[in-house]
Amino acid sequence: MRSERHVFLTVMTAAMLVFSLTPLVLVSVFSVNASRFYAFPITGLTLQWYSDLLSDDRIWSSLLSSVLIAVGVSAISTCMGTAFAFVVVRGTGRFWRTASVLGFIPLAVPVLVLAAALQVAFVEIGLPLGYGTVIIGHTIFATPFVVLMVVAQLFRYDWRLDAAARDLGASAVETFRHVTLPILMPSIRSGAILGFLLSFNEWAIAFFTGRGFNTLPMLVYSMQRNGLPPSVLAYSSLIVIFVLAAVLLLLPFVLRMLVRGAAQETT
Amino acid sequence: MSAGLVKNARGSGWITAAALPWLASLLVFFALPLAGLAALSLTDQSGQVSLANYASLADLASGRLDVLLRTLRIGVIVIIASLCIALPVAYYLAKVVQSPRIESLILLLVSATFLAGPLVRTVSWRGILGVHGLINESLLQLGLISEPILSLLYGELAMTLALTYNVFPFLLFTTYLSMKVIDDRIIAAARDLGASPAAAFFRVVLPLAAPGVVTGAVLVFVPTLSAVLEPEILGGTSSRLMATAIRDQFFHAHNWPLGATLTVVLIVSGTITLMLVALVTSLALRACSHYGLSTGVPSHAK
Repeated sequence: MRSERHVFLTVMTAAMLVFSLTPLVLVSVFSVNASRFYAFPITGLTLQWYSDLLSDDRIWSSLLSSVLIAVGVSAISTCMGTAFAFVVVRGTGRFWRTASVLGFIPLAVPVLVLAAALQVAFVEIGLPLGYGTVIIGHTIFATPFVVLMVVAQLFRYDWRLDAAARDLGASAVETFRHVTLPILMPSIRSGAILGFLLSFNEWAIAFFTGRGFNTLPMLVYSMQRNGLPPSVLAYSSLIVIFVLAAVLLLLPFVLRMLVRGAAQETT
Repeated sequence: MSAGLVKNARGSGWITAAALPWLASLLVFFALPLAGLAALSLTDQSGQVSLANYASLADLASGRLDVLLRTLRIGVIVIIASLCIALPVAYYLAKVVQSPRIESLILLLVSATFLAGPLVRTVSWRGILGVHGLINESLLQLGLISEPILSLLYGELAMTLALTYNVFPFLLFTTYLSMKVIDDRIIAAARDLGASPAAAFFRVVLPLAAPGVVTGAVLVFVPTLSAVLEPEILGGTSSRLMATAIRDQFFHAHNWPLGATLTVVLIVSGTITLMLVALVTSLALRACSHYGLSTGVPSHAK
């Protein structure tokens, strides 16, 4: 009876993995196919599309814009998000409970709506559209995800550690700097990586609130409108590799959390 | 006692300082712009107060109502499709698989594909659904069809598939997290008392995981409302969604008040749709309980 359940669930999970991976594997395979089209047959091996992509000057200036914006977003949203995570976990009373929920409200509003509202507001108050406006928009979009990352670890945090540090004579600030922060570092780092990736691949907010430059998604969006040139496949494949590398950096951390969780359950 | 008060005051002062940057940002760069958008929707292009934008929606010839209804319908379909994927997989990862290594590897693979972003994820489907794409070529090789199916790409099916692909991880993650914190002993107790695996899942696990499932359902529905890339890259001309219409008002027609109106209508109707889905679901569950299929939370589990 137990194994029945396992078969169905295992098959579903395997199917989900196939569903998740197939499109991205396929795009990577075709990025080195000699044919110009994203279609069968596979005619030969080439790196031409990568050299097309990398010799395009627009790619490099877009990459610079995207990285500048994503680094800014990651820094700001990690600071604000980490601080707010403490409010979510430690805030008591009706006021702070309500405030905690309000902090996640952007998750419930379509990104395009936020993008349109910000564009109108920036133009209305005369703030010139540029890097700053995209960073603001992306920060509103990404911070709730950073908060979730940090909250996930903070909920399990053993506050007796703080009490012990205080009893031993550390000030509140020293306790935070030398006890709380180092312990939370893995989830703060994951939050920072998440903030970077969310901003780096975001299209709608950048499209609405950025002027005078292209981020990578904006550029690739305009490239693919003219019949999907093969350099877009090369771009997709590079993004997949880049994101995979960034996420694998998190593997030891996630594994440790899961193993510790399992250990707690058995004791 | 006065020391306690001082400590309390200092404690809440610290929380205020931690909360202020984010809440202030939300007020200035989120709440006020949305209010401004709502105000803009009530004007015409010359700045006069007018309800003409809203009236134009009721004009059936404009086709805007069709686009709105299609958007909401596809949003609901995406929720259902995501549930079909996420519920079994989340349960498998949270409660069935024994190895934390496999568990974290699968979660990270899904995260990695998810974080590649909607643009890359959507474009990559063209090689699967195209005339000479993976599906057509496989079916031809197997001899199941004699010529390629042309209608796979560019249509509601392709668009809905890509939308589901782009958002289902939200539901998977929230459901997984809420199932992960369920005490294994509750499930074991249900089985010991004679519940079949399916009964244990539907009557014990699912009710306890409901908050995560509901959160995830909202998280997959909301991006569907703002989908521009998926309809444009895979939807073809007949499957326009509201988000495309909004983008066009802002960038092609340059009618910002009408764009703002469409945005307000999208948010309001989206919220109503979610409430209807919640209502229908709870009514259906209540109806089921009359036939002995109760999914009510056992009182001891709270």
